[in-house]
Amino acid sequence: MEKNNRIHIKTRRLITIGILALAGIAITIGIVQGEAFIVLKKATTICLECIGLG
Amino acid sequence: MGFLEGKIYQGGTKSFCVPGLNCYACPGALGSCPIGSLQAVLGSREKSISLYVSGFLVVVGATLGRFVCGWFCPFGWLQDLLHRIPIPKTWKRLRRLPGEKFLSYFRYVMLLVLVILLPLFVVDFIGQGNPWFCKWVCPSGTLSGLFLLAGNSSLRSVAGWLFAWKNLILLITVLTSIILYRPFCRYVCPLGAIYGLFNPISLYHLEIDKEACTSCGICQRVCKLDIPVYQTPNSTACIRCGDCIVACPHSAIKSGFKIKTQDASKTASDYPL
Repeated sequence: MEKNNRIHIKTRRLITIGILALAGIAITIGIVQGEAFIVLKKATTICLECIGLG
Repeated sequence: MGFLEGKIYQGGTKSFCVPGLNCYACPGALGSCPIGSLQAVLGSREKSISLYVSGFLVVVGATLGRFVCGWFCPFGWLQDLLHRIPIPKTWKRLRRLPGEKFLSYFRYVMLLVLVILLPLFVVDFIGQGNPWFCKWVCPSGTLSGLFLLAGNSSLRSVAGWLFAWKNLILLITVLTSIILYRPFCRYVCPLGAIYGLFNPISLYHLEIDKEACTSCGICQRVCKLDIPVYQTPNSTACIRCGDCIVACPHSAIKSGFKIKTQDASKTASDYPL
């Protein structure tokens, strides 16, 4: 029972690490494609929609 | 300074997202709100899928889960403070609303419809989508806007019915927070919905020591979100505030990135009295 639990925890951990690695790749591709610039552009102008003006 | 001048920070750090719901229209914000950024990229003409922001959300979610909601979110913290306001003795604080289970799915509707689908598919003639959640719902943005409007007369002059609508939502959130713990986080927040999906698999997690747990239910009684922690320690609703860990009389709830539980192969004789 305890052994099964350990295997289960280990598998879950491996899946999470795999997801993290994929997310890291996604972030890198996103930055290369210029998404960080879109975010910066939006965040440095006053977001009228956010405050309820437009 | 931005609070006094009615201006927002415009430095390069705003190309990075912060983990919590912190509107980039707030004069004090040094980073970007991930939900606002996600809608900005989804609704932009140039991009349709946001790998940068979704990747960021997955990294934070898979590492911490909703720990972010409990410890790093400014709007969650505000609701926490509001819930500490003393109320008249004739009033009663609510632990949950009727239909809590169905209401809790509402945050996924918000995420799917207002954050993803509408900004992606409802676009104007130049192909630009709106940040629907920010525009119609988000009370965090409205609160930030109040600071901006206080110091900026030109912005004040264009406030209309949309501003009134958003302030109504903010007012409802504030008043409800006094009698119900974190109503926005429970039923509305799309960021909490994303992080919550990662709670069962996140590296930071809670574990129940089954040998120590007596299922007494004290953890559920102290949980302000009324979660039966002894049954579902990594529930998608749990914001990982840690109240249950402190309250457990048997120290049966453990939390961390790598939790060492007692080796079950040992027998009682291995532990001297």
